[in-house]
Formats: sequence, structure tokens, C-alpha cells
Amino acid sequence: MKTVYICIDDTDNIDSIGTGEILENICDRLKDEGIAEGGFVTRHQLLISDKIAYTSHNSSMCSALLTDDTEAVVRFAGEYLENNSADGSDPGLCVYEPKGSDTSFLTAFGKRAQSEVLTKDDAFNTAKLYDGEIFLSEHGGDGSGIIGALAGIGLRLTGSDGRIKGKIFPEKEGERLTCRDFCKKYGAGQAIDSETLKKIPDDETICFEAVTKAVYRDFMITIVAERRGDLYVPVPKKLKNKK
Amino acid sequence: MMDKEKIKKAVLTAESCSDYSDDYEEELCDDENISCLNCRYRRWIKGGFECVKGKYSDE
Ligand code: SF4
Repeated sequence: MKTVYICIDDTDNIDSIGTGEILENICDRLKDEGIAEGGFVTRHQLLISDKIAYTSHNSSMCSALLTDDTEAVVRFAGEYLENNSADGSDPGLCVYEPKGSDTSFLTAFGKRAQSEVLTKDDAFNTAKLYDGEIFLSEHGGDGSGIIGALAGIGLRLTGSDGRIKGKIFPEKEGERLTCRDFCKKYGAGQAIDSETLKKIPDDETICFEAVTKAVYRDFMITIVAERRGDLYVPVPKKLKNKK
Repeated sequence: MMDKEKIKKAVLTAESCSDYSDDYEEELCDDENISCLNCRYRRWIKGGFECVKGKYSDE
């Protein structure tokens, strides 16, 4: 099995499910079909600009997959987007199978997409540098989602960009665990100090008080926790509710 | 980036807005409050956002 990356962008409209949920659905279906197994989804923020008309989010969603058949992933995900993206959206798909090429052009493209308005030509020109490794395709509308899809792969490959989709709930509020056990239990690779951004040592105590969100850092699911006396507390993500 | 005043105004506006509706979980920006920043009708523009609810008001 090899690791390939999949990223999609611009699949939603105001009434539809979000792009992150579409990617999770694609991963579930790929698993059901026996094509690939997906991991967690990362969200990567791209440029907010008034040159990108009425940007609702301008973020892309990326996941790593284990598969033996990259072409089947590309085919299946492309068809899925064509059948399930929202009306009026401009879906783009990027699948990347690393074969040892220098990834710096890809990561640079991702970073540029956070500070510049890029075009579809920019995306195709970068993709051309990775012939046989990058599969970039449009699946409706004006296809401009390929820009974010390629950028999302680049940002994922930096190892430290974006947030993990979904929330992490404490099994029991106020639960105390060593950092090592906390990470193991909640599927994180590490926890970092919210002030210093340094890794919290394995034997420090984490007090898990309330729902939190993880970020993607050092190629790992990372919990951000604040120092409170001799404990660390994961930064809470409050749940809102308004009718 | 939005300044503190705009962020405060976005909270006050959303608190009294009957059209507020949560955006997708992964797009919520304000962890503490009901805010236009978390509403599915806000559209980002440079330096802030616009409300596009009016565009959809016949739905
Ligand atoms: S963005 Fe518009 S609809 Fe949403 S809460 Fe603000 S004013 Fe209301």
C-alpha cells in the first residue's frame, strides 16, 4: 500500500453540506469499495480577498489515503464530485502520489495561494512539474476549485498548516491523564503549549475539561493546551447554540 | 484581519439577528460567541465581511 493525498475545493453552496463533509464521504465510499483507506481531514485556509468574488470560505480539505490503486482513487473521487457537488459550485480535485520528487514547488504554490490571487493556469503549470504524480481535474462549474485543491496538497505537505476537521470531546469532563496517555487515548500525535508552542513532555498532566479542536503541526494531529498551575488544559472550543 | 471593534459589532449584530445560522463546523471562526463571523450568510471580503442574507431572502 502507498500513501497518496487527496484534496478538494469549491464543492459547496449555501444550502449544501460542506466540502469537508464531502471529502469524508468520499473517503468512506473509497473504503466501502475497497479502493483506499482514508485518514483525518485537514482544513487549509487560502487567501481572503475581494478579488475572489464573494468568498464564503476559500479553504480546501485534504486527507491522506492508503491505496494500491491511485488511478481508481482519481476516477472514483472525480465521479463522486460530479454527482454530489452543489449546484453553482466549481469543484476541483487533486490527488498526489509522491514518487520522490522535490515537493518544494508544491509547498510554494500552497503558500502563494494564502497571499496571492492565483489562476487555473498557475495551478496547471505547477502540476505539470509533477507529471505522473499529480492528478489535477475540474469537475463542474468553471473548475476553479483546482487552484485550492492543488494548494491544499501543498499546504498539507508543509506538515504544519491548518486545523483538523471535527472536535475532540472529553470522555469525562475534568479527566486527568499524562500527556502520553492523553495523546494515545484521543488519537493525537502530540500536545503543545499554547504560549511557547513547544511540545508538552510525555509525563506532564493534562486535564481535559471541555471540547477542543486539534491543529496540524509537525505532520501530526496536535492538541494545543494552556498551562494552568502544574496542569495543562486543552484550549476549549465552546459550543454555540442559537435558534 | 478585522479589528476588535468590528469583531464586537459582529457579535452584537448576530445576537439580535433572526437569520443567524451556523456555518459548517470547520468554518466557525469565533470560538466564544454567536457572531456574524460564524454565520453561513457571511461572505469574506478584504478586511471584513458582507452579509448576503438579502440575496437569499426569497428562499
Ligand atoms: S451574517 Fe447576516 S444573517 Fe448572518 S448573523 Fe450576520 S447579519 Fe445575520
